[in-house]
Amino acid sequence: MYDYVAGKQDWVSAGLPTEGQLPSRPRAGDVARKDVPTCRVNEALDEVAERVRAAGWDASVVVNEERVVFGLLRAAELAAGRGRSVEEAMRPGPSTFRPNVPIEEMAGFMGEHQLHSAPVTTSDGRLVGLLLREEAERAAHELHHAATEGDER
Amino acid sequence: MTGQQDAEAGSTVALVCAGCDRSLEDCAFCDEVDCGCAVCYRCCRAAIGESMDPVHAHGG
Repeated sequence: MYDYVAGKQDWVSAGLPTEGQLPSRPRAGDVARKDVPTCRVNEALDEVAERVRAAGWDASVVVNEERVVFGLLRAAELAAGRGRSVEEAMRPGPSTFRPNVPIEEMAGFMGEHQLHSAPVTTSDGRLVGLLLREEAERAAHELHHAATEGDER
Repeated sequence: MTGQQDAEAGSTVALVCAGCDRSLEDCAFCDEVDCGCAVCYRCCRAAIGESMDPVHAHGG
């Protein structure tokens, strides 16, 4: 037997497996992109921006060696100018979201707030992935479509 | 209601949570200081289903 000391809420928030009917619904942690480019605070912004664009992205998450999120570089910060460090340009301490947040809620709020991307982390701040608004909206739409089809049968 | 630039005064109007009217420095969802639909951390977490209200109001 194993007691998860942090509790059930923390277990679910960490995106760990659960039972019941709700696990079949996609959540932020399922849709978040795990392949988001990451960088460190002491890197040169120019080099990071070049690497990020070469990978086809316009955002990078700033993490430490344990993948704890320190900051976020979106398109505006990546274009912030030559000769700066990541630390100088990043948005420090961005709002992060847990993997268990329902994708419909995230999609709705991201649309309302015109937020292009949102970092998803465990409750101890480790990066799970970056949730992109268009992918969240697509997943929410597919979920809604599937629910509507189910009702019609 | 919240956070837009006051064109006449040229200053930023204080942000207020759309859920509970609490004064805010920035929006807890998008981190913007001029968010048009700003929410506080507590209302944000409750609205997106990340936190739940306590099941019992009492200790036992």
